[in-house]
Parts: sequence; C-alpha cells; structure tokens
Amino acid sequence: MIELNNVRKEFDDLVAVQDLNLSIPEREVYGLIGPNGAGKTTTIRIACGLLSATRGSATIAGIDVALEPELAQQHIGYLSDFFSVYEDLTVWEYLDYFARAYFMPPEAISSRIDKVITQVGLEVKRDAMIRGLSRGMKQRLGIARAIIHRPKVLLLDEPASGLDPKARFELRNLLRELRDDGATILISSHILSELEGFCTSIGIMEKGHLIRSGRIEEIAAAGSPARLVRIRWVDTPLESVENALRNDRRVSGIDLSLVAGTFQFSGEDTELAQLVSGLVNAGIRLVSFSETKQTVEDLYMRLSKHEVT
Amino acid sequence: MKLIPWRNPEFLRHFRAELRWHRAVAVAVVVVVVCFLLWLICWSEQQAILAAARRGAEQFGGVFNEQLAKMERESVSLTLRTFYQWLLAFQIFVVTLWSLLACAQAVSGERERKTWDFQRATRLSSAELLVGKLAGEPILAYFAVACSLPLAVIAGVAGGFAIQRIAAAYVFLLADAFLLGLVGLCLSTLVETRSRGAGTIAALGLYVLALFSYTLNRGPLPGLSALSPLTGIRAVADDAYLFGMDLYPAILLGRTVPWLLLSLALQFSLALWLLLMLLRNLKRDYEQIQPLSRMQAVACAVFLNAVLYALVRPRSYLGVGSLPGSSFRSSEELASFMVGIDGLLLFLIGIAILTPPERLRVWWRTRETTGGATLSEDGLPWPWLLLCGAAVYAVMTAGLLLWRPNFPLETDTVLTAGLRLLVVLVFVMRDISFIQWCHLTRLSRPLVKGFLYLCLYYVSALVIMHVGSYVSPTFPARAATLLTPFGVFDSSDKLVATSIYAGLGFQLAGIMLQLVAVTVFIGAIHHRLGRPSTVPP
Repeated sequence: MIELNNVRKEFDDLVAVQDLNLSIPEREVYGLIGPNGAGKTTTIRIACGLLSATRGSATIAGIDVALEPELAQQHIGYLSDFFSVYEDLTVWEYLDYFARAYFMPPEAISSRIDKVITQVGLEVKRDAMIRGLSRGMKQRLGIARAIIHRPKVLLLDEPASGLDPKARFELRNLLRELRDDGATILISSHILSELEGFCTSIGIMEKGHLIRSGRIEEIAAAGSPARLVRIRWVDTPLESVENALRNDRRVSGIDLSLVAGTFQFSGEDTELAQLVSGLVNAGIRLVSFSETKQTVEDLYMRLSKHEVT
Repeated sequence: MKLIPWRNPEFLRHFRAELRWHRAVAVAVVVVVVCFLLWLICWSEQQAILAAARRGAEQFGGVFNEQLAKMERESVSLTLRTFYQWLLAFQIFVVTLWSLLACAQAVSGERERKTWDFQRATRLSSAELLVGKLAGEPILAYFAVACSLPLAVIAGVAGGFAIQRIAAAYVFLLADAFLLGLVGLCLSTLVETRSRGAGTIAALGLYVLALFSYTLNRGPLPGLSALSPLTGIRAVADDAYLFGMDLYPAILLGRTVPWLLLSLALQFSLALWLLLMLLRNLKRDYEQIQPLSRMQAVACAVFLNAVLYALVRPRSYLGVGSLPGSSFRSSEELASFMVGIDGLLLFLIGIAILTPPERLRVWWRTRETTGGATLSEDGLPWPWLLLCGAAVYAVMTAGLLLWRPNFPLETDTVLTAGLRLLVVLVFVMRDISFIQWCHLTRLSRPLVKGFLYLCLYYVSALVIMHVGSYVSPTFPARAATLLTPFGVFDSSDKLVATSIYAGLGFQLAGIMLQLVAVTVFIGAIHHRLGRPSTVPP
C-alpha cells in the first residue's frame, strides 16, 4: 500500500534520507521511530507528496505521488506534528471545506462529517468556532480532517504531540478503530509508549537510514532469541534459587536480589512450564513467575545503540 | 474541476469565514455611510456651482439667467453624474488595493499559520486553489462593491452614462482586480514566511508604482500608463477621456486606440504570464519554486520586447488636438533605451530561471556521469540568458526596422545596439551567476542577500566614480565602463578623450573583466556542486 523505493532527499549538502526502501502492506500499522533529525518527517512528507525526493519514488495505493499528486492525495490522510486550523470557521465548516477539497460527493458530505465528529468526540462542538477549542480538541479536529475522506492510508507525523494523557489514550483508541476499519497507517513518533500495543511493524531510523524494519516480534526475535522472565519468591535463600536456575542450561543472564530477579530463557512455552515445576519441586516458594515482553522502547534503545547491528 | 468560484471549496471557505452575517451587515452599513458622504460632497459641490451661477445671474442678468435656468434643470443629473464618477473611482481603488494586499498575504500567510501543507495535500489543483484565492481573498471588497453597485448603476444611468459604458467600467474593475490579485499571489508565493511583511510592503510599493505609471502617458512609451488604475478610472469615468479630449492619447503600433481597450489588452496579456508562473509553482515546495521554465523565459523576453516596441510613440505623432508628448529623437536613442530596459528585463528573467539548488546538484551529478546537456532545464542559467539575449536582439532588429519610417535607421545603429546589448548581457550573466552561487550557499534568504550584495557593489562603484572625478575628468567614464554596464550608455566623449583606441580598449577591458568574473562565479558554483554530501551529525 505504501512503497518507498530508493528514496533519497538532500537539503543543500546535507542528506536527510538515504536510499530508503520501505514497503508497508495493506492494513499494517507501521511505527517509524528515531531521534529528532533522523529523517522521519522528511520521509512522511515525501510519501505524502509534499516534498519531492532528490531521487527515488514513493507510491501510495499504486499511484506515484510525484507524477500524479492529486490522484494520490485521494488515498492519503495526513497530519503533521505542528499544525494550525482555520480559527475563523466552525468545526462543521472546517470539515466541510476539506471534504469538498477531497472531492467527496456533496450528498455524502453531511453524514460523513457527523460520523467523523462523533468518532473524534467533538459532537458538542459541532457548530462552535474553532478559535474557542482547546489544544487537544484542535488536535482531534486535525485527525478528523485527516480521515474525513476515508483515506486508505494515514500518514501521521507525531500525532500525539501536545496532547494530555487522556487525549493520547483516546487517540490510540481512535487509531485502533481506523486500523480495524482497514486503514494502513504510517505513524512517526519519538514517544515510544505511544506506539506500544498498537503498531504491528516498526522501522528504526537514524541519520537518514532505516536501520531496522519489520514486524515487532521478528525484530525482537532477531535482536535476542531469549525470553526475559521475572520471578519473585518468599522464604527461600537466594543461593537455592540461583543454584536451581543455574542447573538449567537454557537459563542465562541471571540477575537476582533477595526476593526477586530476572533471567533469560531460551526455549518454548512447554520448556518454560517445565522450569516452573522444577523450581517448585526444588522447594522454592514462588510468588510470581512472568515473562516480560520487550517494549518498543527496549528494542529501540538496544538497536539504536548498535548493540546488534 | 472546481473552477467556478461558488463551487470552489477555497472560495467557500473565505465566503463563510469573512462574510458572516454580522460582518456583512457591518460592511453594508459602512458602504451606505460612505455612499451618503460621497453624495453629500457631490451635492454640496453642485450647490456651490449653482450659488456662483446665481450670483452671476443677479449681477449680470441676460444670458447668465438662461445659463442658470439650464444649470438648475440639470442640477440633479449633474450631481448624480459626479456621484457616479466618484463612487466608481472609490470602488476601483478599494477593490484593486484590497485584492493586491489580500492576495500578497494569501500563500505566505498560510505558510506562517502552518495550514498551507494541508491545502497542498488535498485534491485541489493549482488552478482550483488559484481561483479560490483570487476570488476569495478580497471577498469583503467585492461585497462592498456589490452593496454599492445598485446605487452606482442608478446614478450612472441618471447621470447620462450609457449602460454599455457602465458595464465596461465594471469589466475594467474586475480585470484590474484580477491582475493585481495575480501580482499579489505571485509575491506571496515567492516570499518566505519570515518575509511576509516585506511581501506586503513590496505589494504596496507596486501599487504606488502602478498609480504613478499614469504619468508615463507623456513619455515615449505612453501606452505603459494603461497599466495604472488611474488611467483606467479616467478612461471609464472621466468626461475628458470619454469625449476624446484627453491630452495624451493611447498609442498602439503608431495608431490611437481607446485607453480602456489598451488597458484591458495589457492587463490580459500580463495576467496570462502571471497565471503561467502560478500554475507552475503554486503547489510546489518552497525550495523547488522556479517562476519560469527556460523556454518560457525566452518567450517572455520576446513578448515583453514586442509589447514595448508596439507602444512606442512615433516621432511625428501629434495626437487629436493635443500636446505631442515626448518621443525618441532617433533610432539610436530608441535602441539605447531598449538596451537599458532589456538589461533590467534580462536580470529579472535571470532571477526567474535560477535553478533550485537540489535540482542543480542532480544535474551536476548527471552531467558528471552521463554528460548532461549545458542547455538543460536544470542546468546553470547563463546559457539561457545568452539565448534570451539573442532573441531580444532579433526583436530589437525587427523593431528598429518596423519603426524605420519614423526613426530613420543608420547603418551602424543595429550593430552598435547589438554590442551594447552584449555588454549589458555580460553584466547580467555575472550578476545572475553570483546570485545562483549565493543560492547554493547556506545563507539564510540567499536571493535577498545576493541582491543586497549586488546593490552594495553598484553603490561602491558609483562612489568610486564620484571620488575619481576629482582625480581625473575621464576617470568616472572609464570606471563606469570597467565596473558597471552604464558605461555603454555614456554618449559623451570623455572615454575617448585621449584617443579612440583608448576608448575601445577600455570597453574591451570592461568586457574581459566581467567575463573573468563570470568564469570565477561559475567556477565557484562548480566547486560548491562538487562537494560531497554529508549526513546529519
């Protein structure tokens, strides 16, 4: 659905994006992460057709955005990090403007606006002037604008910047809904918790390069095949726990304190179950035994430090 | 396509935002008050004339009584006539100025508010955005005119103006507002967000310049004053113009034409060029803007020159019972004048075809690997300036031949003009190469700074010439020849005071010096382009 082929972008003698290849299939939610200045915004602007690539091509739904920008825009919903809205319009008028600008059939506009306003939770502000809205409401209005024409692709550049925690939670729910409705989403952020449990794939950008790209599980597995396990116990000496763990050759990276600790385990679920029963049989009184999933933040911190590259 | 204004989303946005009922009522009330004040002024003026006529009739009687009776009969009609004229002038002034200023902030304002990208990311084409902004930005001014239109039409008809004349006046109003709106939009597209204020000031300056171009009707190219709103206002409302009593008639190809017709023709043709520039660039990223393509630049140079030759006032032209106005004294003077104008035009065209740095780098790399053409669309501008110069010279030759019956052509005039044009062209190439180099550096606002550096250079040259005049009387002419293009227009003999060879030597040295400067700047550009790209730290 989103294809970037060998994209390069130069500003003066600075290369912002270097020979980027990216392919995002339909219904995927792709998180583009990286530090400031990594080239995320430039990549999204090129994909959106707002910036021409020095070299390479970007296609959305099979349409080259540089060759047929207006046709490609029909399939794109775009939201930038810092944006403004027309303060002298009402919420309804603002959305009507963009619905018309995306050439929606006039008879479908009114019902679509009402639906989108409900989706973003601005029903009570339908006829209010935009200048009276709070920052979070304007952000929601921006999202409503981006989805008013039912785009197949959403390109969101730091969409949660400036939102309070509640609004972020609502934004995540809204994006989940859109994902479930079949939209393909490319979202950039440096607030990694935003992307947690929501993205299906991620790409890590640094210095204009895409240093890692793929499904989160694959990246996590490729980075470290071991599973991180956290345990807690009572009334058992530390040495006994340590010895019991060391006896299993699939255990590594043991890090224990007096009553709790973590270790890495290389094995399947059944083997992990065996380890649990082994510990119990060894007389260790377990209070909790849980596998800790690697967060996007863990992955980013590990990969961006070139630990595995 | 959403080119019809009332179906255009951008126009609708302006309509909704700026014409809410309370604002519309406020504007309508203001318009009514202004109309009432104008009526009072016209009425009091008419009453003053009548009072004077009454005093004359009381004092002298006889024919003065008859005159007074006639004036009293026509008093209302004359008041309405004056009212229409003032109201129309007021409408034209408001709409044209508003259109220019509002459009001059249209795109730069959107950039500043960070809403421009969202417009660019819609399906609206450049043409649709253009129509929306052109019709929508000055919508309050159009509304004000619409409010006062019924009054104006009634007053005009009652005042004795033919309905066709009134219709022509409003066609002119729309055409002028359209042209100035396009000028404003061009300015707005070209200036960066930070220069938004400068763009507005430039728009105001242009409006004042357009108003003052009215005085050109006495010069050797009287038709240029047709670009002034004042000329238009007089053409559609002034009794002197309407009855062919204007002192300085409009001249096209040596014949008298109505001012209104010339004004509309000039506005239409210039508007087409501005439209071309805007349609090419409106939705482009700021860094990628290039007003004209290379071939369009050559065509533009030819068109503008052809227009200027068509507007020349013939030496023998006396007009209809009018003052002759000034004209060129000879074909050599005409050619010199055109070389000077062409220097300015070629410089502006050079600015319009500067290559965006990114495209120049791509061209450079392609040239390095596959041998890209020197006359490429993305290459350096100087080869195209040479082509423009050649085209301008061809038009100049044709123009001088066309005007031969009025300005006898001497054998060496065309050759001398060609040499002068060549010198001017070398200076223009140097200046444009310098600005292109500035464009490649990391200077903020490189075009403005490059232009200011050039101004500094020319001011320095003038100061040197002035100071040098105390050393030797021939120094200013020699310095002008070496350092500036103005030397070629110096018809005095100061340069050849010592000998004709010394004069020629200075001319040649001047050209060689500038060619060296051009080579240095092109070398600096190549050096800059050859630097390897860097990745962010």
